[in-house]
Amino acid sequence: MSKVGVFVCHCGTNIAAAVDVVRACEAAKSMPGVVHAAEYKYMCSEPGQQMILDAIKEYGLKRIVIASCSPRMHETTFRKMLKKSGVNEYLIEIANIREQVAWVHDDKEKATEKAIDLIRMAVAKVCRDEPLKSQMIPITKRALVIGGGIAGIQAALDIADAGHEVTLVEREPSIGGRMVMLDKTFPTLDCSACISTPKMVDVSAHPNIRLLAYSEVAKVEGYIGNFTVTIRQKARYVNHDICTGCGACSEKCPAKVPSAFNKGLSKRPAIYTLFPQAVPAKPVIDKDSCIKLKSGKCGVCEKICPLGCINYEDEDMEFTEDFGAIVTATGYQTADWAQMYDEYGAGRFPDVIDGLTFERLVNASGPTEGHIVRPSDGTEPKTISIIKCVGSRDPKKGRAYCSRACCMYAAKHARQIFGKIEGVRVFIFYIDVRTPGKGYEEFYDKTREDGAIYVRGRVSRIYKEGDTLICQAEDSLLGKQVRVKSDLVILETAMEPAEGSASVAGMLGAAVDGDGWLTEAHPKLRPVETQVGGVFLAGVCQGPKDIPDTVSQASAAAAKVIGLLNKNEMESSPMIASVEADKCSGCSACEAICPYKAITMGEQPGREAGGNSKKVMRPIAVVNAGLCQGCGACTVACRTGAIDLLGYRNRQILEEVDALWV
Amino acid sequence: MNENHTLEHLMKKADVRSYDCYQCGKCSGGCPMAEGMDLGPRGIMRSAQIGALDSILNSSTIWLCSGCYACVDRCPHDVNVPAFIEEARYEAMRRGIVRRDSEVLNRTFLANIRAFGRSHEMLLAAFYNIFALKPTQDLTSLPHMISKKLIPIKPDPIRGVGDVQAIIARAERLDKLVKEVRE
Repeated sequence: MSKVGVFVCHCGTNIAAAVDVVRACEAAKSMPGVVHAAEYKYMCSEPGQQMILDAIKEYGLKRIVIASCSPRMHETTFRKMLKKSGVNEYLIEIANIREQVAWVHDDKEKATEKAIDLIRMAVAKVCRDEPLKSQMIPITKRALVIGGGIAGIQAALDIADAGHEVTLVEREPSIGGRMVMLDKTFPTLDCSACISTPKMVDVSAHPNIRLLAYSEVAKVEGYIGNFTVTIRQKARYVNHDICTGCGACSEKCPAKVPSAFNKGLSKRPAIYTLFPQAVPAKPVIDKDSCIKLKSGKCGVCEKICPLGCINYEDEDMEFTEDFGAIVTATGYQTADWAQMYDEYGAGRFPDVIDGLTFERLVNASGPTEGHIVRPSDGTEPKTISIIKCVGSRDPKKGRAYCSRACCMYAAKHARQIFGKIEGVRVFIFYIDVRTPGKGYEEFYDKTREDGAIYVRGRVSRIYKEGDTLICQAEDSLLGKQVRVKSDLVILETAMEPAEGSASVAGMLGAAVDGDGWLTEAHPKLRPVETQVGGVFLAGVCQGPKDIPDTVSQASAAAAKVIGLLNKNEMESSPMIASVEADKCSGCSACEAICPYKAITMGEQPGREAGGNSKKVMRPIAVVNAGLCQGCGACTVACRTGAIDLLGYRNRQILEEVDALWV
Repeated sequence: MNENHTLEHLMKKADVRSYDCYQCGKCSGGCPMAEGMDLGPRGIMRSAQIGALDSILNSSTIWLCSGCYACVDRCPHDVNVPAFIEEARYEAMRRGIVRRDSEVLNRTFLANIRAFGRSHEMLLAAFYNIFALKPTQDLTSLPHMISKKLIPIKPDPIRGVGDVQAIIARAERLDKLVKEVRE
């Protein structure tokens, strides 16, 4: 029989107040296999650990049971301790007599009995434990950043500055994301392009960053430290190796389509750069609107290009690269309010616009060169209404969450309007004003001082009377209905996950929540990690946030990546699924159920079923040690019982259960 | 008090939860009757949140609600205010809290239907103004309404007025029966 030592912790009075620790310790002494039992005030303390180490020497203990707090708290502490003693660190069991006994029971007598039962079960299991050894997995010292908005840019720069290679993938022809569409940023009202374009240039000039614009991630394989990613470079039809970005092609292109970057307020040619300061500053041809690519006639850009960069035969190109870590920064889009808000005109009124459209309208490099005008007739509005929470805080329209940035965004819009239109009146309809950020409340104060009239009430409907729009709402502080005649209405629409972010999450194996945001590993303590090792989150893809928070989170994600890439190899947990080859029938039920894509079907020599017993290769489940998280789902799915979870083998668990009935 | 007549019970019957409402005011903002109401739909929900059933039952709002459901349609939390108002009306009637003008309107309206089988607006307005002690209410719009033929002068009874009277009589008998059974 194994030489088991049992150590019962008082945890000050945390355990001792509800459990008779001395009695539990005495009871442990007579359990099968136990050669020594002791109790102490704080087992996890330095003297407590020394006491265990001494006992291991004195009694020749081979296996250890510690009755204390949850294994989540101190299992690692005691494993580290065991490593020093020479006993394999997986020959230890923790009986949780604090969270599962002392903190939940009042009756000391019964609590003590339960504690003794838990200790007996732990002793039974520890006798069946086997020494395990963790493997070292090598780490590819390169990072992939998906998404080239401000989050992706910041994460890429931070990782690259630390000396690691970064590949930044952006699906648009230029990096910059949503931030470069904005005119100014709160609470300082500094120009958005002025602070983001230098960072974009830094990205393109950084020796450690490889920028892949107009590209998408097509496939992700592998695991932490060892990802293999397939990237699709979309056909640009322009040879960027020789193009100088002179712009002659865009000027002469006869095709004109609404510019998505300018929210449809202006048109762009088929061969285009997103905006003047685009990075890379070289055009691509949009194949859906190019006359030459659609009908074969035209070819103006080819004739005009002095360097012969145009190639109508260009095709999408796929290639693979290896990475050790991945940062997801896929960002957001604004909700399509016209599909949801019939009461706001559902897009029938051209002078009801969303906040991002207003940003293009007020932007000096936008289609109106910064003049705020009504899209319908080009006149300057004299009364403007701003409506908050459009699509946000509206479970009926599918989004219960607060989009977090809109309160400040609305106040900022009011300030921008006051700066541009003399004698304008601005009404802001709100439910609550939320300004939890440095300098935010002061910004709100100044907005009211500037003359913005805040009306507490959600606008019930917008209708047209002649040329003006009427916003009908209740001033809920007065309890009276109000109707505000407005020349222009700005809707501060909800943020929602960018189109395609779910498919990126799917490729990575990362979870998304009910609203489509990528889920962090722990909402408070692991906010930039995902449940998938080596995959990190930056920016709005994890949930709505403003620019300061986005940049902070991007730097945090970068710090995690740098920490990972600074190691040459990392230890993997040995508590993973293990396949007994002879029992495996190759049914692949485990492959289907594994949430981490850790099981694949390999082959091994065997004999054909039936009479002739011909030698054949037959399928067998193979577990990838890097991907397996030890959840145990496969062990349940396995119909032949061929898969066991190391450290939690079926017979170990059953031994534990049996110990309850002695 | 009988537990069937508490605020909680009325809300449960209407399948309305007061905590669902976060007082955004979109309901009162769009309510076509809001101008004549004291509380308005948002005020009804607010009163429910603080447990002020009396102020709900004594409000004009519950009698002025036309049941158009614009508030429910636009409510972000799908709070069915008219359903709750309907329950509040029953409860107010049961407790004998009926506003005089509403009572007068109801009686006049019913008498009108009894007599002609359909409502005759001119007489309805006239009798209402007399019995509600508001003789001049809406009087100024009368010439316009008559000249534009928006309101008929002569009553136009339907065929089978007797059938309608029978229906009303039957409803009244049933109503009486229900009251007896309840008590």
